[in-house]
Amino acid sequence: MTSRDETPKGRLARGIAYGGTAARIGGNYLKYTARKPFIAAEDRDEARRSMSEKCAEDLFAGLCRLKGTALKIAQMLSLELDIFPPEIRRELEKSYTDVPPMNRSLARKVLSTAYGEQPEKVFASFDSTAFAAASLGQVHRAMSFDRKPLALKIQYPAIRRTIWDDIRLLRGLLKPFAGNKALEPAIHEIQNRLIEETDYLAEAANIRFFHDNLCLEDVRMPQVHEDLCTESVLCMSFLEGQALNHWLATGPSQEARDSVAQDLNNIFLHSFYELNCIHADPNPGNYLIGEDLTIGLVDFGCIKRFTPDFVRQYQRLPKIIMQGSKEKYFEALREMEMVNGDLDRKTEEAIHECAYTFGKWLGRMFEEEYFDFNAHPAYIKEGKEAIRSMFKYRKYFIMNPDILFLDRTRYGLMRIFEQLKCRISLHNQYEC
Amino acid sequence: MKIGVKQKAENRRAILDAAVDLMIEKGYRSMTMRAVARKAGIGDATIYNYFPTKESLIHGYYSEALDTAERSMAKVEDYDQFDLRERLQLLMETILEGYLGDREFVDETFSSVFFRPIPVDKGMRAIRSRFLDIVKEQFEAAVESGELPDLMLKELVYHCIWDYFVAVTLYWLRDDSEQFTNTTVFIDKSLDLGYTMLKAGVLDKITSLASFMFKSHILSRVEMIMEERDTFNRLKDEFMSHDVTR
Repeated sequence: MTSRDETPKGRLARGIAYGGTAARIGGNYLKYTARKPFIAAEDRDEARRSMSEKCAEDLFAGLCRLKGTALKIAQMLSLELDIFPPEIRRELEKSYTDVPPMNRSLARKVLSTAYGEQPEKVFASFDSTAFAAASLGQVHRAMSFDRKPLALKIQYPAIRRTIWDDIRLLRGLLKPFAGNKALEPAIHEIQNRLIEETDYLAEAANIRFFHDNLCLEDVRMPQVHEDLCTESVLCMSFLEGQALNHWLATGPSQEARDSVAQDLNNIFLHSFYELNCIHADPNPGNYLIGEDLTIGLVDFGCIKRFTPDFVRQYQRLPKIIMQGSKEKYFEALREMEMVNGDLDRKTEEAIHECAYTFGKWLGRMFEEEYFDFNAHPAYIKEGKEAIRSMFKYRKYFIMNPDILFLDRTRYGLMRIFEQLKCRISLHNQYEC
Repeated sequence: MKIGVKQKAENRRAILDAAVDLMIEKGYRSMTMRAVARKAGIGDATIYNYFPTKESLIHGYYSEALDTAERSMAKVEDYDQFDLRERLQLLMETILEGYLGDREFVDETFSSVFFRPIPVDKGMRAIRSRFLDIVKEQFEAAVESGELPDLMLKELVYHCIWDYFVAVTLYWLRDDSEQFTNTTVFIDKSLDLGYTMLKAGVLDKITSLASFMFKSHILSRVEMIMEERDTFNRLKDEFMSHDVTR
């Protein structure tokens, strides 16, 4: 028996689900605020943490009830937002691969609507219980008539309409959290991505592109069965392997972790510099680690293409930052249309100061042949500090969406390296 | 001429198909039994062995649709693993999928068949009892597997599901969303609610409340009437046994 499916789908029902979550979070916050003056200073941290944990559980419960869009948002937020306290991130990270599924009848219905036939007529066998959650849908196993194992990604019905509702409601839900204003651009970007991701035919084309062009050893990619793809069903060959976070939980050796990290880095560098197109969803659930440590890449709903010009300009950036030449730095930024044209001397000086700190931090990764994330557990955190100090000058920067995506992907990758506690050579032929 | 069971079923099917086509083309009023027979390739008189009236053609269609749905559900590989909620959802979706090809026909006839004022006629009763049998089977399996507690008023629940099915079909007939996605979402959502109520035994609670109301209000009124009747009987007896001589 599967757990029952309780996703509310109407706008009103979803509103109630979100409303309930928001009310509960608000309630917790209120309790904390009311108690605050009476709590001794040393207990305050403890009280604050327990409040965050309670909020996180409520938020996660609320998001999980909505699945679809909310699941996707949870995934994106859990990677991106250090604005959230660690307790909240931990809860959010659960959403990578563990979510309650659509029930069996509904999954069948989506398939029979897509194919105009019962699944039994299309596949030799079809497992109506999902084995993984995907963005905006779930993945089922099937077997083709010529005995090939398949993975079917199935989309929640009427998802597009609910995305708009969900995003609007999410804004309300995030209000009790500090720094929610800074999330606005992220939410806007997420909304656009989500709408794009509902088109499974576009995703099929993406898979085909990477399958044909990203030819790396140790990397596996699914093969699309185009005759069985529709806007709401994606049919591809089945990839063996464990999701990265599950694999990590089995306690793999240092060598194994190093090898996986190196491959992940290669995938990124090769995609960006050779193909000018990256798999822009660095979610641990999207990497399937095989027993031979090869990496299976799944979920190509979110990819990002860059112009060759942009790639060329970006390529020079790490070196310029690390060299510390102010003129070259601002020249490069202006060329990439990343800063406002006229900055006074003082501001320029201050920005450069921050950039220099950031550059020094970046340079540490390349100082020696191998960088050991295990030996520098606070490394990512320090980098975040450097970025945060730059954040003060954000009004002088123009948010270039290309940079936004690139940074998100690279940052996501670094977070994965940190979790892998790997020892990795980051030197590469493209950057330095 | 003797014909086999298989041939009989095929003829039945052919007649129904012809009737559906003709009704979509010409409407119920101008469709004649003779035209149906011609189209189905069956003798003008033979058709009456299968369907004595035009109305019985329509009833025939709906009970045939239930048979088809049941057969198609039996083909679902892992049906035995489905829980009651999934089975009910599958039943609704399968019936609607069957109607899909004949949507115009269903649109024209459904209300007249399923929304008749009482008394419900024989043909309609047959369809309903066929449907209730399927639902009953699903419920019994759920009770047997321990998924659902045994209900006090099963028959009432089954009839609720019949009404639900009629409502779902009417919703589907008015649904103009692409590939009737709204109906799918409607079924999914409403069954969520219904199933939760079933598991929580809400219906049992309501009905026991209702029976309490019934007992305390209606029955007490009935008792009053009974008392009146006693008075009336007494008077009647007195009148009848009235001794004229006295």
